[in-house]
Order: sequence, then structure tokens, then C-alpha cells
Amino acid sequence: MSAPLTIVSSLSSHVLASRSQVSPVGETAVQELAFIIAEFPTEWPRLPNISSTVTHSLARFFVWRLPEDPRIERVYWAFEGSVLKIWTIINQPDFEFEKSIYETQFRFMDAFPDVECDFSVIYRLGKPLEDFELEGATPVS
Amino acid sequence: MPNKDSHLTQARHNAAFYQSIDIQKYSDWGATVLFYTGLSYVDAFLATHGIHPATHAKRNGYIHRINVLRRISSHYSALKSSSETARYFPPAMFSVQHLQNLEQTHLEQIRNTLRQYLPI
Repeated sequence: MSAPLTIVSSLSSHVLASRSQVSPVGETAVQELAFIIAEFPTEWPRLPNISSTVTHSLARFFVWRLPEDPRIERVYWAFEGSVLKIWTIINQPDFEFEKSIYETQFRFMDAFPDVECDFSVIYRLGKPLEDFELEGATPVS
Repeated sequence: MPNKDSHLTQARHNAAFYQSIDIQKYSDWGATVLFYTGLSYVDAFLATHGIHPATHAKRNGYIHRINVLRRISSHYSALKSSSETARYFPPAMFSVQHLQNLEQTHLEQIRNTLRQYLPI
């Protein structure tokens, strides 16, 4: 018994059009990012003058799409090999709230289908936020 | 590469281990075992299509792109969040209620959805 594989199409313009607010990253900038990533899928992470700027912009785009909610305490990103890793720190498990973060992760993947991503929601569980500073990871303002 | 049956055997093995541990004392390992049980179901489904993701990022990509898996993605993510918190940010202890939610809600949703395609 084998399920038919239905692949969800991804259209960054559709995703962008659903957002009426002005992005701190900027729609044009996001489209430029998507263009760079699509045109140079393997090269851009290795371009010294571009990779950090592109990746930080990607992370800022992700944060912009997150709900404005004080329960999201910090977001970090790091690029490991060809994988963009993004950690979202919240204090306690709360599935109803987390669904909005997971939805944002999917929208990000819709917008940037060529970026390999590993998203994590991490629970602080009352420990100091400083304990969650990740070596080699950059906080997103 | 492991086939569908190998992944399902691993899922049952993990589920049996979960039943054998004191989840009040080892809630961190409980969360991790539940996540890897769910992951084995996902990998079993992917294996039926000849897909064998080698990394979490690759697997995430398939979960994102394949409609059947997309339906269970938030439940898979909930399991992954607790497991990663436990493994990478110790000490992490969860309530029994949280473990029960992971098992009876999130893992069960994965099972229920994939049961249509796999002999779970």
C-alpha cells in the first residue's frame, strides 16, 4: 500500500503577497534573496561577501514572519554546511502557541524552497536565557 | 538503505522501550524516544517511495513538500522540540502530563495518519 506523493508547490510571490505589512527586510530584498539562492544554490553559502549577509537577512525574514508575542524570547541562526539552522527559544511547551511558529517555518520554506533548513523550537524551562546562547550561532534582533 | 519494514520494526522497538522506562524519572529520554518513534514512522512512509533522508534538514524538506506528511508536521515538530530541548539543553525534565501529550496526541496523530499507508 503506497500513498501517492503529492508535492506541494511553492511560490514565494504568493507567500509574499499574503503579507500586507511592510517587511523590515523588504519585499524587494526578499525577492533578491530568493533570486540569489535560486540562481546560485550551491555557491552562495561559500561566497564570503554574500553568505553572512544573505543568511542574516533570511533569519530576519523568518523573525518578521513570527507572531509578535513576548513568549518568543530569542531567535538564533547558524549556517552549518549547506543547512540553515534556526532556533526559536520559548519558556514552556504550549502546542497551541507553537503551531504559529511551525506555520512560520513552513511559510519560510515556501518562500525559500532552495534553502535546506533545520528549525528548532527550544524550551527554556525556567533556566536563564544566557544558558541558551549557542556557540557559533547569531541572535536575530 | 533500511526499508519500510526495518523502520517499522525500529518504531515498535522504540515504543516498547518507552513503555519500559519510568517516564517520571527519565522524562528527557522519554521525549527523545517518542520523537524517534515518530521519525521511524515518517521514514517508513518515505521508504515506501524510495526516499531515505540522511539528515533532519532533508527529512524536514520532504515533510514540508509531501501533502500526507505536511498534515502531521506540527505533531512531528512538537515531538522534535521536546527531544532537542532534552538532548541539547540539559537538564530538561518534563511533566508526566507533557509526556502523555507527546505520546497520546502528537505521536498518535502521526500513527493515525500514516496507518492508512503503513501496517502500523
